[in-house]
This record gives sequence, C-alpha cells and structure tokens, in this order.
Amino acid sequence: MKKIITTNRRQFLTGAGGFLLSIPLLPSLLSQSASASPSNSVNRFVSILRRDGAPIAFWPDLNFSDLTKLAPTAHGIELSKIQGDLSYCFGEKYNALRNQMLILKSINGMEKNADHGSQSILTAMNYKKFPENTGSYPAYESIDQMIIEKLYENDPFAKQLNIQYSWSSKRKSYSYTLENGSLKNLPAYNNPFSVFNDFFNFSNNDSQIQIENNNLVIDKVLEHFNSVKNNRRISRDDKKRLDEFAQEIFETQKKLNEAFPKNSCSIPTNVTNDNYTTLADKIELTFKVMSLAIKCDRTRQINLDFNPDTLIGNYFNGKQHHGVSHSNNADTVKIFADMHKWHHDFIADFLVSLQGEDPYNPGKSFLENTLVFMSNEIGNQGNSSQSGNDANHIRVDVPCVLFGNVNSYFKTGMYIDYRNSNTHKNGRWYRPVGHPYNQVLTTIMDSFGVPYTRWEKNGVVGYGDYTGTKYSKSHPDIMSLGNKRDPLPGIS
Amino acid sequence: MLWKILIIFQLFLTISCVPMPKEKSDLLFDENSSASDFDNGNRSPDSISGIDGIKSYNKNCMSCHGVLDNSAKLDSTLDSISTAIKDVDEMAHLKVLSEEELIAITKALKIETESAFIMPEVEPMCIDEETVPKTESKVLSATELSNVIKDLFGQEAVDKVQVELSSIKNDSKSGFSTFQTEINAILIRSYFHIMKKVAPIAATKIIGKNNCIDDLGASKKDDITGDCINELISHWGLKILRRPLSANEINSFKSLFESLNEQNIKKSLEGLMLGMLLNPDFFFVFNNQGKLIGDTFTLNNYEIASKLSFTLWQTSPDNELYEAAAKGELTERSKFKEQLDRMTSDQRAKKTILKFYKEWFQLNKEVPNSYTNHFLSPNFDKGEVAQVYPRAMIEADRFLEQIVFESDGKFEDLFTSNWTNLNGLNDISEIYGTDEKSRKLPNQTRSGILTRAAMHITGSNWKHPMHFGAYIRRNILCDELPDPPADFDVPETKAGDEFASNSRQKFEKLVESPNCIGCHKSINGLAFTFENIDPIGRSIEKEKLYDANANFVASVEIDTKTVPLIYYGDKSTVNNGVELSQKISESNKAKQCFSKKLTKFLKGRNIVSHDGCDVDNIYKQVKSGKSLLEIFKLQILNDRFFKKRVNN
Repeated sequence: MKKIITTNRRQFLTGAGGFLLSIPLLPSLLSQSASASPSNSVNRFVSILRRDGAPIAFWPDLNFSDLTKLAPTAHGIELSKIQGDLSYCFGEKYNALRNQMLILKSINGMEKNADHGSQSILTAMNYKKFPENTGSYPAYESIDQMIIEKLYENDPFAKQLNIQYSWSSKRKSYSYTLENGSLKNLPAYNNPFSVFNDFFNFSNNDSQIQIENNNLVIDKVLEHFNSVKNNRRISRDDKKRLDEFAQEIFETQKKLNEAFPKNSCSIPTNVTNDNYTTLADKIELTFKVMSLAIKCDRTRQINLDFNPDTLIGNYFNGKQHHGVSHSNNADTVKIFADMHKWHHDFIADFLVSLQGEDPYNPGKSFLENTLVFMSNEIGNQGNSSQSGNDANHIRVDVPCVLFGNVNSYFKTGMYIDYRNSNTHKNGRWYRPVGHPYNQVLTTIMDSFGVPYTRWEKNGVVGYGDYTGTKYSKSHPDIMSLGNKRDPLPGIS
Repeated sequence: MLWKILIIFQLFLTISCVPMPKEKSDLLFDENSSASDFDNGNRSPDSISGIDGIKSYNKNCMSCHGVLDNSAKLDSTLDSISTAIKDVDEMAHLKVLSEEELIAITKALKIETESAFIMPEVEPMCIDEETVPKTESKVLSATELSNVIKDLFGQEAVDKVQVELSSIKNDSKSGFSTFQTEINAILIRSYFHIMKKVAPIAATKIIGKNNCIDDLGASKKDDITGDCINELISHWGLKILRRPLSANEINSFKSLFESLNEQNIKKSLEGLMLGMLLNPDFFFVFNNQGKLIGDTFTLNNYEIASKLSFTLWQTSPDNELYEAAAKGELTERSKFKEQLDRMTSDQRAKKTILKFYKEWFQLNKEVPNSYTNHFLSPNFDKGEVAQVYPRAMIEADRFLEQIVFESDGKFEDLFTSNWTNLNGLNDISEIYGTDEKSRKLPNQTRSGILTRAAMHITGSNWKHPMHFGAYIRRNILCDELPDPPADFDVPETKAGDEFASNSRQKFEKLVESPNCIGCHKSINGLAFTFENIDPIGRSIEKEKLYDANANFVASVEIDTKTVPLIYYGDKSTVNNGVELSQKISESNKAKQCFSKKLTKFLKGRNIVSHDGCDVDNIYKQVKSGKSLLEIFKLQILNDRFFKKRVNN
C-alpha cells in the first residue's frame, strides 16, 4: 500500500535535499517590501485639497523677528508660543491640535503655467491643464500611489478612498496612476453615503471558524502546488514560478488571519440613506465616514477634494467662493476668510476625532500615525499691501499644513518660514525665495519610506515639474532648490 | 572511500560549472535582441576579432548618432572615431573600448561605401522549421481571467473584482494585451483576492443550478452524498481546470469539502470552489500532458482546446470544444479546422483579431479636450468635440472590421483603402469634409489607416509630429530607436518668437544638432508627410499657429514633401501621407514588421530565435497576397501551434 504523504502550508517549500524550509521565519523568503518595512506600525496618509487660494487671515500674524533660525533657509517658532488663536482661519478649535500641527510658509509651486487645477496637489505637475507641455518632463504618478505601496506593502487589497463632495459637479479625484506610460485620473466618490456602502456595508472580518476553514483550503491548495511541482514534466522555470506563487498565497492568507478586527471600530447602523439636506450635513457626514474608515482600517489612504460647493452661498449671503477670492473689497475679503474658517472647522472636528487611542499603534493616537496634508490648488491670495486679494491666481506661497508625525519623522507643533525676511509679512511674496512645493511632496514620500529611486523617472533628479514659468515669479534661479532628494530643512 | 566520493563530487562540480556553449541560434539573437538585429542579418560579427560591430555600435553610439542604417556617422574612419573619443567630452566614457571593438564599429559604419555590398530590405529569419522555442508556461492575463470568470460565473463576479483585475498588468512596453503577465507578489495577491471574492458567487451558481443538490433536497452539507459531490467536482473541475480530473484529484477535492468545519452548503461549496480556483492548473497553462519527444511536447486534445480558445477568444473552451476534445477530434486536422472555422466566425474571435490591429495602430490612447474655439472653427466649438476621439475610433474600428472581415482585405488595404462608414458620426464626417452616407474618403488626402482622424487627434491645438514619425519608424517599420536623452527639454511646439515658421521648420531646427539628427533623420521624413492633417484630423492647406497661451498668431504654409527612408538605401521622395502610405503598403520591410508584430501578439511575448520561422511564414503569406483573416487562421493551423518545448 502506498504511503500518502501530505504537506501542509508550513511545509510546502521542499529543498533539493529534502529539507523543509520554514516559510514565515526565513527573512530571505519575505517579500522585499516586507523586509524593508521599518516597523510594524500602521501608517496612513490623508490629503485635503482646498480651492481658490488662501486669504491673508490664513497665516499666523508673525514678524520675522519672532522666528528662530532652524537651518540656512528655514526660520521657525513653536506654535505653543503664539498668543491667542493661531490665526483667524485656524480658530479656537485648532488650539487643542497645535502640538500635532506643522505650518509651512513660503512654499512655491513650480509647475509650468501653474494656476487653477487640482492635478498639481499630489504631482507637482500641471499637465492636465496644459497636456502639450508634458513632453518636456516625465509623467509622474501622484505621491499617494507610491505611498500606498508602503502603507500596504504592495498589497492590491489596499483600498484607497478618493472623495470630492461637491453636489454641483462630479469631478474625478486628484490621484493619478500611470498606465502604459500615460497618466490616468482616478474616479472619486461625491457622496458619503456611497462611501459608507462600499466601505462598511459588508460583513465584518472572518470569524475564527472561517479562518480555520480558509487555512484548510490553503493547505489543500499548497498540496496541489506541491503535486504539480513534483511532476517531472514541469520545467525548471515553471517550478520556480510555482514556488513563488505558493509562498505568496501562504503569506497573504497569513496576513488575513492576523487582521482581526480591533476594538476601535464600531460601525454605526444608522447611516441608512441619503438623508442629509444641507451642505453642512453632507460635509459633516463625509468627515465622519473618513474618520470611521481610518478607525476601522477600511482604508489607510484618503484624498478629499474639499471643493467649495455652489451651495456655500446659502451660508454667506449668496456670495460664491471663487468670486470673493479675487476681491479687493474689505467686506468680501473678510467673507473669503470666513469661508476658510468655516471649512477649517470641519477639518478640525475630523482631526479631533482621530485623537483617540489607536489600537493598531499601541500607545499612540490615530492622528500621530496619520499624516494629514492640507494644501491648496493656488497660493497666497493676499496682495503685498495686505489690504485685499490679488486678482491673479498663482502658486506662490502655497498653504501647506501637516498634522501627525509618522513615527516621529516630523517635528510637529511648529511654524516654519522658508524666507529670509518677511517684507510683505503675510501678503504675497513677489520674490519667491523659499522652497519648491515639489520638496513638500518628496518630504512626505520620504516620511513613509518611499525611496527617491521610486519617485524619480528616467534618471531625472527630483519629482514633478521645476520649470516654474508662470509670471516668472517662481523661477528656479531664485528658489532654494538645494538637493532635490533632500527633505525640507527644519521639519525633523 | 570517502576521498573517492569527494573526488567524484569535485569532478562533478567542475563539469557542471564550465559554461556550456549556447545553441547556435541563441548566439545569433536572444530574447533581448532588437528588431534591427533581425534586419541586419548579413552584417555578421567581424570575421577576425569575432566582435559584432553592429551590436557594439547600437550599445555605444546609437543613442547620439542614430540608427545604424541612417547613422550620422556612416563612413567614419578608425582615426576619426578615435580622435572624437579623445577630444569630445561627451564621448570620454568610450575610452574603455578596445581597438578591436573600434575597428568592428568602423566596419559596421562602412557599409555604404562598399559597392559590392547590397543591403537587402529584409532578411529571412527562419532557423529550423522543426524546432519551436523553449518557453515558460503561460499564465492567464487580466483579460483572459476576466473573460473566464465571466463565462463561468457571470458578469456579476467580474464586477466584484474590477479593482483587483486592474492590478494585474502586462508588459506595458509590448503594446499588446496578450503579453505574458509577469509573476510577482502584486499579481499573486491580486489573484488571491480575486478568487476569494469570486468563490462565494461561484458557490451560489452551483446551488442555483439544476443538479444533484436539488435532486437530493439537501439543506446541509451532510445531506450531500458522496456520489453527488463527486459529480459536482467532476463537472466544475473540467470547467475550471480545463481538463477531466483524475480519480485522485476528485478524491482530494472531496476530502477538502468534507474536512471543512461547516454545515452550511453554500459556505462549504465556497471553500471547495476556492480550492479549485487557486489550483495551479487554473492560472497556469502548462501544456505538458501530451506526447514527449526529446524536450518537445505535442499538445493533447484538451490542451489544444485551451490553446485554441485562449488564442481566438481569450477565454476557456466552450462545451462544444470540450466535447470535441473528449472525442479526441482535435488531433485530427480536418476536425480541428472545423472548430477553428466555427470559432473564427464568432464575435469573440472578431474582437480578439481586431484587438491586434487596434493595439498595433495604438488606437487606445486617452486624449484630453484642450482645443480652443478659434482652432476648432469653423466646424465646431469646444463643447461639441468632447467625444471626438472615441467617435473617431469607432470610424477606425469600422474600417479595420471592413478590411479584415468583410472584404477579405489584404495587408496593402490597411494602408491604401479609403473605405469608410460614417453613419451616425456626423462630427467625424465634418472632419473629413465628407457626407455621412459616403463610403469613400477623398483619395487625395486619405489612404488607409495612417491618414484616419483617430491617428492624428491629439486633443489640443498642437500636433506631435515627432511622436507620430517615431511611432511609424518603430511600429510599422520595426526599426529600433532610442528614447530622447532623459534631460532633454522639449521646447514648446507652439509659435515662439519665430511666428512665421511652420511647425515643421521649428522641429527641423530643433533637431538639427549632430546629437539629434542621427535618429531624427529617420523620423523627420515620416513625421512631416502628415503636416496636411491637423490635430483634430482635418485636411488643411495652411497651419494655424498659436502662442503659449493658445492665442492665435498666424496661418502659415505647410510642406509635406520628404525623404522617408523606409529602408536603408531608399532615397526616394514622397509628397504627402497618401504617397507614404502607398509606399509602406508596397514595402517588404513593413510586411516583415507586420509579421513580427502578429507573431508577438499570438505568442504573447517577445520574439526569440526559434520564432523566426513563424515570422517568415507570415511574411510569405502576406507577400503571396493572402487575406489578413486567412493569415491569422493559418498561424493556428501551423504544426508549430501544437507543440511546446520546455527548459529543463
């Protein structure tokens, strides 16, 4: 009678001499990304795009003499030292968030013909608006696509959440992938109810019995792989591929087994229909669903296009966001600041909701390992006399505010100014000394462990477009480009 | 005794570590060999040093001086090359080249002046008609996986796994969706998650069928009898693994079903189906069960069924094909041909065959809509052209369908026919300046696929003539072209200071430097023949120029007369794209290029040495005037289709 030899998943890889290799314990058998992972922490990245530039009231009211030199091109101050609220737009709600916050001043977009357009937020390129320009530099996928590889160790099970909530238009997201060398703009949800349905309306993670059954299936699958591999008709090359295939299946199942639900995730049952009636309701629900998605680990990467809906007029005497962004009239400049504050308060509530303990990163809050990057398609709208808004939309002095520290990579609780003086204080800075917006993006990628070899294309050093031709005001010659692979100074 | 064993072992190591000479064919060209390697067959390695001057030129000189056939440095002497390496900073890194290597490069550059040497337009590639190349086993591509899931479990299952399917990418540089998917961690995880999502739907499909579970009235797993589960495993095993299961295999799946700690029938079936869907015989196509002679397998009936079905339909066999395989009919050539004819007339085969042409002509790009109203006038305004590219593609699709399927068209027709069907495409007929009901485009400006609107629509006011020229050089003529230097900043294609210059003059000036002209000599002549077609596909007599902000500047004269340098030594001129298309249709080089492309598409990988006979067969069929559809079918009827050789 033949002896039947069965092999389970722990014994699958059989060496030439008959030795059984212990799959999960041999580092050489781990995937490259898993080996490179700096820690077992769960990191997340959230970007929030605002539109139409920032008003003067966005910035803390600081004189250059208030700042301390942090690096040759960086001066800063701890946010805790700022008296009163941080600024008009970052009102009272942000006081509890100061120690998790990093405000960057004098960051300049260097994209060719930079103007309106969400495409540059995570790419530092303006190719969508001027596609014929793209021949001059490589096409770059957006940074979230590369960061997500780190967040999920290249696991396609990764689920990204792109939202743009405007009722009046159904735009795509500002996340871009590369397909056959061409950029592809990913779709976005424009309704929090749909997000909830897709991200939560399915059964919770597998039960223990299901996990055991899954293991039985995988044992059988690996037995079949072994049987095929031992067939003498199988080529050497195919055997190698079968090994690779079987190992990855085993590891993937192992990961799924380890992904037990955490206590932090309590899915509400009352999100049952599209029942919001006002813009504020919809925004509030959007942020709640985002917060929930993070806490339940339904996603580790979110991009929110916080696009001012036309319904904003209901809250501001019929005024529209874009219209007031161009105004020099003191009353409408004030409305522009109020609109920003109105939006910022929703963001603050979201950030505060992430201050609870994070069971995926014991001893830390959710926010600490969730980098929230708040930026704008346009730069500082304040004119040089600080009396009103400039009529032009350009990417000079782009607002960049970060929350969370990603395993202490960022030293938060700081305001950092990359100018060497502040002649125009918070108004638009016409000689754009400072650092390029591209460097903010490369710094963020660096914080998540994305190496420059991943973001650079065709051997061109740096990321995105550095040509900066718009109004000749962000020309590379008068910017502190430094080493394009280095992170921003003063942030650690 | 021990020392004897050690000596024998040492001897074994010594023998096994001596590099074995490769086969002759592998020395001539391997998987990485370029198209130009094939075309330059006569210029063999230097007879004295053994150094291949062509390869050495391609490696060290081509990026600056261009393709050898059109090199800016033809006829250079050893002295001039040595001096340049010594004096020109950009060439300093070439100081490492030996004198023998420089002599070989010099000889390669000498071809033009050697009157006795006549460079043929194409070279035969076949080495050994009997031997097929050694290849890895195929894995299902994303398209195939999607089709198989749909056929087995319905569209609902495919919809559930769209995200995961999009993670499976094939070789993006190949340009063909049939290309072998690279096995890596992302692919395997995607595959795993796809099957995890598909398995529950698969279980539902089994329960919903009129089968033994229904007959038994089973409400829990224990109600299902052994015979019933055997029946289900046999039925679904054939469908999923594309062959009948052995008794051992049936028992193995049965033991899995029984071992699951679950009484719920659906859940138990879900586990069973996941076990089947993750089986290596589902995802891999090994083709190693047939007769083995030497290192070559002859495919058995079920393997032939799968190969035929994946080649024509990009999915697994249908019931009729399985029945033919079960009767052993597919190894009989006449019966096989019956199946081939049946399947070729099916819409799925039509889709696959058309896919080859659409991918070859790159009719699958995404274009923006950045036209200005001034540019679009007088035919359109901006709001009317949002769908112009997809609709131009419909016109191109109809054209290809007509040539390949409806009119028994030949290779030449692809480049010369002005047939069209513009029904329901009023915007495209406006572009062509033709009535919607007309079946002919104006023959002065339109001739075949290269002159169709879909090939020229860029989505903005500006053309990309160099891209188009390089596309023809690489894809229609199969010449190798290096990419532009990574740090090269392409200036604006629009009018700058020289408002009076047309875009041809600007581009010519842009690439006139010695570093560029080497390659551009072979691009320009192809690019500028189409200057009379604007970036939305209209025929024009004057070109509109715009500044960097898309403001109109001027209308200028255009010039479409060029020397396209189709092949080495071809100095003839063409007056426009119509003449160029005609010339391409007559060109042996383009015919061989088509043969290479079709071979790549059908094999789903780059060409290796022993594929040369397939390329030559297609080339002969094209030359003999066979129709495009017949040529496609003949590749499947070829004896080589039924063989597989492995690397052991």
